[in-house]
Amino acid sequence: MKTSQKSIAIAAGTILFLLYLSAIFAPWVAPYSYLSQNRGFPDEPPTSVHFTIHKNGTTEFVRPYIYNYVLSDIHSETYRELKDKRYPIEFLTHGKLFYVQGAPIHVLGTDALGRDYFSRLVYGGRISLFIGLIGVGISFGIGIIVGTLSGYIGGIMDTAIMRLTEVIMSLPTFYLLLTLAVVIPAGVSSATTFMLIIVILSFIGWAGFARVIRGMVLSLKERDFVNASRAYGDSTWGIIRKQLVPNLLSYTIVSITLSIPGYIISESALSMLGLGIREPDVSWGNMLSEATNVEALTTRPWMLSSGICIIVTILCLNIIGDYLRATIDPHIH
Amino acid sequence: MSLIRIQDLKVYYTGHGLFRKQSVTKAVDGVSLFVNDHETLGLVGESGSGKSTLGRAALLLIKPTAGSILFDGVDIVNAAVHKNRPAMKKFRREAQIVFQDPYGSLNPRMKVGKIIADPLRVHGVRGRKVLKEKALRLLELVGLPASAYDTYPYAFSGGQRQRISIARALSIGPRFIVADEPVSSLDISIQAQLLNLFKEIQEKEGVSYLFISHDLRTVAFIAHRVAVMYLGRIMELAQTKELITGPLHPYTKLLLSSIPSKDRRTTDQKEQANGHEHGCVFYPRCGLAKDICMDISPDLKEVSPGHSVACHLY
Repeated sequence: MKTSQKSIAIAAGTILFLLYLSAIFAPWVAPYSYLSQNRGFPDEPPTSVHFTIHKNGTTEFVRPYIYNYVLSDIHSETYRELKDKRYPIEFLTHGKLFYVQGAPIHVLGTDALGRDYFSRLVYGGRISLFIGLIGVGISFGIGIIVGTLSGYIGGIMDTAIMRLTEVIMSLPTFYLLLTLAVVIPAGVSSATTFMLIIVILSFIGWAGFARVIRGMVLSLKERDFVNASRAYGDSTWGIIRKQLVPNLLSYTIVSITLSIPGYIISESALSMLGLGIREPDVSWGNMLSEATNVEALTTRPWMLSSGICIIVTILCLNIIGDYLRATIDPHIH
Repeated sequence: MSLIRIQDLKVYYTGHGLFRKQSVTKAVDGVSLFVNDHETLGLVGESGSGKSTLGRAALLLIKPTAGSILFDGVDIVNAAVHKNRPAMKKFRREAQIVFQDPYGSLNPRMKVGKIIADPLRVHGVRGRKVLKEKALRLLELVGLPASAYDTYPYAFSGGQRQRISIARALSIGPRFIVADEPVSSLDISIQAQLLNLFKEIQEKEGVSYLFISHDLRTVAFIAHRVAVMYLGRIMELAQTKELITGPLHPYTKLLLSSIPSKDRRTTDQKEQANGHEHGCVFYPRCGLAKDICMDISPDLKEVSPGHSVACHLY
């Protein structure tokens, strides 16, 4: 394994770790609530942060500060800095990572309702990042148990389970989703709806993984170390736990890291179609759907930051998955 | 009394084909033999003769189609069917196996110490210290350094892996070990070392072996008695010396002459067996065949004390 690949994987891991941390501690990282609107300041550009003061022709470095903004032209949504008063950025005060007293700070600007884009991005990560973990947790949990039992015990149970997986795998997922989105009552919050959809999706998604695990178990159980365990009388459960599962683990770990992106992507696709997270709740997917017009892209490119977050997350997961696949058993075979 | 007595054991495989009629492969076809305490019974035959199947069926790793296996006087085929737990537990403790493939027979994700101690744990030995002590003693017995305890199997060569397998089989103090071609995949020099280890262990621990090999020389070195197997049947069974010096069956003679001939291929064997239902299985290759050989399969009969042969010539 080349060191460069290792350091790239470590970097990817660090980025991913920070993203998850910021989602978990969203109320602390985000300066504002994802709901608080400031209708007087729609589509404000990112607040510029200043580090220097020009005084008498000399430049002096000071702690970072910002100016207040005014909407100079409502029609073209042009903003202007009010340079009369400086507002220093305070770190780790007011129970926040950073905060400015007296003036609003919008690191990534605001949306059409004047909501802080950065805060929404941080809160949106909660849905987008954890959807994958929950979905993968459920589908892989069921898949590994069912696949191992099916493969090792075999017989009627194996046949029954395999027919069941075939039925499940032949369900048209997209139509199921559309139906579900309609069937789930309107009263529940969109985040709950979405969780439901993901849970249901992963109850369907286990089938493919279970079949792969079954195949691996079928080949593993013919290996002589399993026969040796049978010869000294280990129980079925003991053989599964000690001989089979440890040999399935490397595939499972790699496969998990490589399938989380699928859930993240499906979240953004569904939200974009209006089946997932709906306003005012926030996810990276529905934030990105707001950026789907040329005007927004040309005048407010910072609206793409949710898309960048999705790309970065998926890239990191793929890099880590590839790295694990290459390193997890360097010398076992 | 013999430690293990196999009687009329049959292992048949039924093949299913979409466009073919069902075919039955008789891997083991009515084999009877016994192994005494502290004794090594060699089992030779070319590949495809069913010797490994017999070894595995003797440990119930493959379910026999018919026949009985008496271990220490108890019918364990029956015990397995009727879920007689105490009898099975005793059998699983006292009968063990060492496999041919040194790479497939050790779990790559388990440290050697754990591999060796696992049978003890399964049979109720508790306590980390006790288990480690026993594992270290076993490592010493099979001639491996104590440092092997904390290592994964990948670090070991074929011969060393076989030693680990032997240690695992010995851990719960068995009385009977099926050695399924344990040295066939190793270098000649390593083979000799391991054969000596098997002998040494038999002297120290008093175990019995069913020693399977395709190499008559290996078996002659280690076995007290030798059974020659061909296409699922025992052709000849005698004291090692007697078999080597005075073979009776034409097949044994062929093996001893050890001239590789082109008709020793397994495909030939199977083809011959398929078109040949009733008579002696060796008939198609036998140079001394008579008319009777084509129609009637000879039973294994004792021609002199301790020397049995399945051939119409005797």
